[in-house]
Amino acid sequence: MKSKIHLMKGNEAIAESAILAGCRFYAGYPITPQNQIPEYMSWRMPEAGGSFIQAESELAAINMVLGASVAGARAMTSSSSPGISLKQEGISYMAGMELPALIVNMQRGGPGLGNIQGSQADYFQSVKGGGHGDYRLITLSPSTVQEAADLTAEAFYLADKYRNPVLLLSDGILGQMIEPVELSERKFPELPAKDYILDGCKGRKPRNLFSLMMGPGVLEKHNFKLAGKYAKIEASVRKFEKFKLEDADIVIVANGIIGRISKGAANLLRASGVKCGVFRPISLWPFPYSEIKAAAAKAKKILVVEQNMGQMVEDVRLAVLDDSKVSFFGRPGGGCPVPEEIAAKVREIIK
Amino acid sequence: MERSLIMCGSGGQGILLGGSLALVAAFSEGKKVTWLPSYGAEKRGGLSYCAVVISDEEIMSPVLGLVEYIIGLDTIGFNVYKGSISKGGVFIINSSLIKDGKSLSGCKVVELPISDIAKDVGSNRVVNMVSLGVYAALSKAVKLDSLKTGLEEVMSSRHKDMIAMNIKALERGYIEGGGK
Amino acid sequence: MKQVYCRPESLKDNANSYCPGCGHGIVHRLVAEVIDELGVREKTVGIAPVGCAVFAYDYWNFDVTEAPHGRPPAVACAIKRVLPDRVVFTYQGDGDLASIGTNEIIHSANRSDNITVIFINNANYGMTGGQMAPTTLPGMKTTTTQNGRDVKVSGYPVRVCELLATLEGTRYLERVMITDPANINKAKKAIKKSFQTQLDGKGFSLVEVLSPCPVNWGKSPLDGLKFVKEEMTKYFKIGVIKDETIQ
Ligand SMILES: Cc1ncc(C[n+]2csc(CCOP(=O)(O)OP(=O)(O)O)c2C)c(N)n1
Ligand code: SF4
Ligand SMILES: [Mg+2]
Repeated sequence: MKSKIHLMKGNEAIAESAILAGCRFYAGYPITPQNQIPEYMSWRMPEAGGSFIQAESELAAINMVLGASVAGARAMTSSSSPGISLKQEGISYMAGMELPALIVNMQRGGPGLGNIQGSQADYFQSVKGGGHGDYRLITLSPSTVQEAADLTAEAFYLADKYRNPVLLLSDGILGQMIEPVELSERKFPELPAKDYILDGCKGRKPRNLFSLMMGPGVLEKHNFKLAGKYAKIEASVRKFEKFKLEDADIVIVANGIIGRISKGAANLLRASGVKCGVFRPISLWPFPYSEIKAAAAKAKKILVVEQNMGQMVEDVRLAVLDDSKVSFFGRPGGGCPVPEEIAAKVREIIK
Repeated sequence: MERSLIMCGSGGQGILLGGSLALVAAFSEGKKVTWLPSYGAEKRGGLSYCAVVISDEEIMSPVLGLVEYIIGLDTIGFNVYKGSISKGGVFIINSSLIKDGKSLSGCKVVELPISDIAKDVGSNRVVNMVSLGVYAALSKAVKLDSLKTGLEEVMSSRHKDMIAMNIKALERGYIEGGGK
Repeated sequence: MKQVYCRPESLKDNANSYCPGCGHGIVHRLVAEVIDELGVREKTVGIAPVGCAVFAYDYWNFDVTEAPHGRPPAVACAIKRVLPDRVVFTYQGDGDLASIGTNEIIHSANRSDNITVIFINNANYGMTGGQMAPTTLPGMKTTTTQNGRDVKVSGYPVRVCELLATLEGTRYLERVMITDPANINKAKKAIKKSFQTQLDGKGFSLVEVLSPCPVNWGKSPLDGLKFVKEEMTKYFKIGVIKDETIQ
């Protein structure tokens, strides 16, 4: 496919972008609101010469992706909240074994079976662990279909570069909505050959991949090594958008779909003379703490808006270190605020 | 300027297809567009809707609060969205099925027997197209011609034989809506 | 006037939201009638699946709990251990029972948990919009097998009853269909026998119901029934697969 603008659902754009980025293995299990990803992959992946498997469960799917990654393929899986919970064990193993892959979570309302509306209730799960052990997951949050496609491609690059799983954390709204999107094969810096994969030891010493490290101090050393890698990622993979922040008295901090809706609120507020801007974190881990701190220094008030009852706000508080400045507005359980609602909330806190 | 449209009714009325035709047509005119559907249970005859935004500038919210134009094709959709029309907005009502359009206030109400018109054109299945024709005439947010050319793109190959009737339905709706 | 057809007490007076021609509504009613006839409504605990029947608690007039997708047998096992004199059953689709929940069903059967399992085989994932299920027939088109199920890529349909029959723990396994009044009667008899097996303390039993999902199959309700009768039964043989209730 040559670069061209298409009208596509977010889910389909993610799938096609993965194919263009060289993903040649997909395993997944049906769950709303991300079914268009496996459905698209079911015909597109074989066409591209890769493997599509509808796994018997999310548990199997993530471990198939683990296996594909062991074998050196660019691999991905996708699901929505309940299914992502089931994948956590596999994600932890992949972090421990330093295996790259893309995991897509098109979040829905929870806890439990919840509902199928878009949600941001899995923020904690994504950036504070999810699975067990002392690991970090690069977590990217798109706000448009275009950005979802772009970040999908970049996710594969980052995963390979750092030998770490990457999570694309989006939601039902972005997955289901159609928007114009330009798809093309993107260029990233050359990566070294994968010297860790298991493809048969012909001509070399046998290799192993594992996360079990029972010897005295061995695991501690491994964790130090991982921490060093995470520090490098934190120093170089911070992504965010600053919207009308230069003169902002009020800064809204919001990610994903709520980030873009908040920009609508900022425009409404500016039309009535309120100097409002938006800070939209795109990488949720690493979290842009220092950039938010800088943006907050010039502002009188910070409003964090999320589709949950307050998760990212904890990181914003850690960044700002002045709780009196930080307010929160949340809509849980699939509720989604519109620009007018967020603008009203801002007016309330500056009264 | 940002134009917003909600099309609502129940599963089987072609709501999602109608909305995506508006999207494709506006996009072909060089506009920025978003389309957000209901999903999940639509197959069971329950509520079906989609929200379409058409704009010259970057679209911030695909999710709509108060809406400029609402097309209500039956009571299921009407009852959910009757409070969502903006002040001075336009509510296009299928009076063949919705009897309490008069209860709306603060907006312009356009009542047309859209189901009957569709049957007159050839089939109840083209209610969506009749209503879009009305919308194009009233809102001028999309051109009738772009809607007609867009059909080729949105209709699945299985239903290509329906294109002629859909064009007739768009044209008829356009005239009913006062378009020339 | 004599009333010949009335709502079982075990069925609430709610209209169900299943598609026209769907099998779930019929099987809900059969279960309700059996529970009434056995007089166990007030000591029954049902476990609803994640699937189109997830809202079964809106229709059944007795205690029903939710369970995560595929896990009803584990939940049922525990409820039965805690409350051994209660009647415990799971109601599961083919995605729920034969895909994500294969672990749980096999081990529940192997332990011979004294529970009843009603298994709805409709050859696809109904609720999520018609993806392939483990029971999808070879060549059958679904949203994830758009050119028809290719057994070389996605394997063969799983015959749950035959699979479970190899386990020592299973006492009674029967496959039925609900395509016409005679078969609906047979289905009801099987369901009743399965509950009776539990009441007699004999152990694990399961009734597999071949059930239409016309909407996702792209068929009319009538053609849906025809498909069950003519196509599904070729692969999934109707009848008693195992019966060790009389020993
Ligand atoms: C862990 C998890 N994975 C996936 C889903 C999504 N899901 C809901 S219902 C369903 C399958 C339903 O199919 P089946 O069990 O065959 O029941 P049917 O609807 O056909 O009766 C799936 C995969 C979920 N809710 N939870
Ligand atoms: S999708 Fe299929 S199983 Fe679900 S309610 Fe409709 S017919 Fe029944
Ligand atoms: Mg099923």
